[in-house]
Amino acid sequence: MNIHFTTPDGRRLTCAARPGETVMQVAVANNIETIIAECGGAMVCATCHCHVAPEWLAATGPRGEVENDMLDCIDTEVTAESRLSCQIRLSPELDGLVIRLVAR
Amino acid sequence: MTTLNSSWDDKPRSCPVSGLGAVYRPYEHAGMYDFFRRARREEPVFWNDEIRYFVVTRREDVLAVLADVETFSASITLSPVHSFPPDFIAAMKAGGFSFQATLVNADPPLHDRLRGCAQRFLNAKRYNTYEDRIRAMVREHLDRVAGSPGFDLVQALTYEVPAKVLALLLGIEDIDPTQIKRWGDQRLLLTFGDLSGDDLRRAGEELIDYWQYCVRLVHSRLENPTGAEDYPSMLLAMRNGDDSVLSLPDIYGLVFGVMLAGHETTTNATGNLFLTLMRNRDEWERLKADPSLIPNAVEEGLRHSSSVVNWRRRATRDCRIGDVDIPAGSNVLISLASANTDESHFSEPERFDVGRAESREHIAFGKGRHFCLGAPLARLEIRIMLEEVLSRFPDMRLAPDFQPDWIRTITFRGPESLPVLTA
Repeated sequence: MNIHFTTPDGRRLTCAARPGETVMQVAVANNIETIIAECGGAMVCATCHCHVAPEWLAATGPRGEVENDMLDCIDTEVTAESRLSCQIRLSPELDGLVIRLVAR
Repeated sequence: MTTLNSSWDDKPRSCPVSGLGAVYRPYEHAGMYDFFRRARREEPVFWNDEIRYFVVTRREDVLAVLADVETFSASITLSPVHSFPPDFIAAMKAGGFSFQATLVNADPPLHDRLRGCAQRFLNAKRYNTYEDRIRAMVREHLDRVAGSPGFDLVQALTYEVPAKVLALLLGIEDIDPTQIKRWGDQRLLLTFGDLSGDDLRRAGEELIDYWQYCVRLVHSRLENPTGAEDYPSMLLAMRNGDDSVLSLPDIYGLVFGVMLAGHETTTNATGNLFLTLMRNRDEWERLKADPSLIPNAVEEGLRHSSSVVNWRRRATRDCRIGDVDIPAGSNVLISLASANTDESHFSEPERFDVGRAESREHIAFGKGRHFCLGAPLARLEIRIMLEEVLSRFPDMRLAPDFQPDWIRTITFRGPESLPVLTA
């Protein structure tokens, strides 16, 4: 499966992914710069913040409670599409997922 | 670059342990990076009998230890490297000191409960609201030495500013920042040093003072709510009388913990960065020519010369690190400094390069569940100090023949003074 990252300056990066991985893991493996993920997926740093393209919001599901709290505390732009990419686990249904990267 | 000096020779000095463990000098900082380079190559995980720890030096192994919170407990993080004598512990308890776990040395579920509360205050969004005040504070410090041909940069700037920033977070206006530093210094020596006798007793008394100060601070906010947005007030508001959310001792511990975590580390990291920049003049000049490199220079400083060189875990079960079997109950010292200079991840790791692409892949703030809550604040403070010093003293250089002295602990590394010339 593939997922796509779009950058704030309009580029589109397509990355191979496997079901079971998180979006953060795919981003880190592909050196996507704005997904830093300093805590490695423990949901304590919020440096893997991203926006999910609106058409994929239903498929990726709602944010968790702790994730919501973390998003309250960050200094990058938080919108209704905001997620922590470490909390989006890929399944075959998410093949083609589009993630919008957030400028840091 | 330093070289292996006489204190790191191959003569075992305690038990007849074979290999590098007998050479390792856990309290010595001169020569440390050379030693770790050798360890990564020859014996990346070794036992040291002086402190009775397994020492882990490769980045990959350090990351594996930090990631596995079930096998490697954080409970040991604030325990003294050398056990306290029973009469000392009794005296501490009599003085009201609590040995209860707080954030940094708690495992789940306690850790997660405390962290969930603490990070509602300790986060990048809030830290950014302090930027203007921190900059004004830094400028005020630099004003005092402007016009002087030379000064000690630690004393003039990096020693006090992080303590004053902490006072801001805590909403304290009536404390001498050097008092916070004195408490912190004693706390470090007590936990990560090798004090004994009267030195140990005096440090214990300072620690009790420090603890009681934190308890009084929490109670003054409890009894006279100011409505202010400071850390103790916010924790009390989150608690809202419910001990299952946070108990009062939890709050004492969090306030006590932030006072330690928030200044010594930043003082040292800033001192290390300035020392390294002064020793790499071309990089200083690069920053002057292109200040947009400053944020990355901060990361490169953290990577190249970490202020927290080692951290600790305890194995909860039999396991392996690299090729070494680690029995349950073993103490494990993970070298963040070594991981940050591991040649398998960083090319030419000992070269200080403010434009290095992978600088931020350091683990100076740890990694995983215990990732440093103060990291964005430390970055903010260090960046501001660097920006202001660069623009105020663009020709600053190290005093001739200066060699740093390091505080004697296994964990923290930073120059005790940094004499500079500006004229």
